[in-house]
Amino acid sequence: MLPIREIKPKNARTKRFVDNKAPQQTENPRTTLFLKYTTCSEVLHLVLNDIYALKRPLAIKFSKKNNIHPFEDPSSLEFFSEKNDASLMVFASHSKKRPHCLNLVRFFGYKVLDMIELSVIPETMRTLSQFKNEKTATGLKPLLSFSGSAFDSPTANAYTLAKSVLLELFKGPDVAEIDVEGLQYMLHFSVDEEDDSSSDSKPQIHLRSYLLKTKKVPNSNLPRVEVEEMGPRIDFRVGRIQEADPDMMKEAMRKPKTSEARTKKNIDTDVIGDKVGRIHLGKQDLKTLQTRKMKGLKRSRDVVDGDETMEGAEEEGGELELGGEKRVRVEV
Amino acid sequence: MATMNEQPKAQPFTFDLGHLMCIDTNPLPSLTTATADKEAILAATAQACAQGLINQLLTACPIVRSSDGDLQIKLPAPTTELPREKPVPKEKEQTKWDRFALKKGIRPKKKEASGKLVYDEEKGDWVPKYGYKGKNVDGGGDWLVEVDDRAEKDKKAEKVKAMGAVAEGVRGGTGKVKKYRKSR
Repeated sequence: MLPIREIKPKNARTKRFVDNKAPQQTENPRTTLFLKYTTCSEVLHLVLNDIYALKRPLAIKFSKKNNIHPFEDPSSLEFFSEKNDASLMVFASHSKKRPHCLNLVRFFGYKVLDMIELSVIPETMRTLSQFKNEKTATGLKPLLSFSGSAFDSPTANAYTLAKSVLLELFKGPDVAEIDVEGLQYMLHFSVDEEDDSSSDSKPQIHLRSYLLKTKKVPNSNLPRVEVEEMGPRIDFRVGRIQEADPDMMKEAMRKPKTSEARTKKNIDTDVIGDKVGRIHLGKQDLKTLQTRKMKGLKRSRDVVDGDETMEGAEEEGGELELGGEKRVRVEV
Repeated sequence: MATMNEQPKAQPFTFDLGHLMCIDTNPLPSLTTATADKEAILAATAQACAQGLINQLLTACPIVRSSDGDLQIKLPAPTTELPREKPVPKEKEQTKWDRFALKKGIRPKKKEASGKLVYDEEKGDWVPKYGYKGKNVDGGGDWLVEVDDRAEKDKKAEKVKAMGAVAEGVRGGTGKVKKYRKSR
């Protein structure tokens, strides 16, 4: 695949486009790309449509089928990511070995950061349209909740990765304030507990989406919240994962220098009101200490010597041995 | 539900209000039962999370009433660290002028000092003398003005009069208005 040509902006509009795509201090929200493998099941097709509906307008959906194997060769996905400026991808594939598979891929600098493969369990899947009730408007920020001990395990495992990726996928743009009326729905992810008896099968991740209804409670400022299932109901089985390269992850977690004023350390104000600070001097080398010169006490005062050693060697930096003898005669 | 003595103490929820997220580390009760019960258990867990989250949002975050009359909750910065989508931008290299200006202490001229702003008595604020939202532009650049028939008629009459005066002035003329066509 040819590398993407670097666009040199020739007018303000293209310059704005290029600047939007370029790395920034505070980043744009992630755009998600939805694509399919050459074989895709009906279940997956419905799931893809539902998630696309939830993620709009920060989502792009490809309709063509792509012969890509993300875990073997992600170069094609990286090309798509760069071309469409999409840093999250949902790749749906269906094969006999891995049925109803959703690969969630996260990118950093248009290169694959990490991937997780979640298989949809077709029997329990219910689409948005199967729940006969009102839905929320598009583009709202959902409330998220993660239940289950596996999501918070101290060691990084498939479930902590899943939590991170699912959070990124569904959280929407970061906002500083939100309207109380905008808190309309909640996505609930839960993990079953791992049973020792069935340790061969990994616990499933359940995705449920609920509409929130608040009812006034007497004698309390806080409303009572009621949930009504509205959205897609999907149970996932966790498949393969590809964890991030530690160097790449470290680079990705770097925070840019904030322009906020940092409090100057080391400056205090004492009781009277004076500004006080500590000056830290380096360690002194006692060998090169400059002490008072007492010329009279010099060894070579009466006898003229060849080498004159000066205490506190400043200018010459130590003993000076000249070719010719330097004669210093002091008349008393 | 078993007796209270056997149940382990429920762990409190942790919140990341910047992401509107609630983390419930309590182990999920066994879901190997029938579908309806399974959904009921999940719904109950979700309801508990939702209640906790809404309570936390309404108590811990300041609520302001915006200019439109809506209640807005000021969310704190998110606490869960998530990886960036692109690397941190590189510091742009300072140009020769930038370095010179920094050395000399030359700073860009501020808007008020640039002399473009003029005090507008009516508004009681400083407005640009010309340009976007300038003082010399009246009516705010009305692209749509209602037709006033009388005003139009008066304008026309004035125009005819002016043309007549010009024609008279030309060589003590006839008072007729002659239209000349530009020769190709």
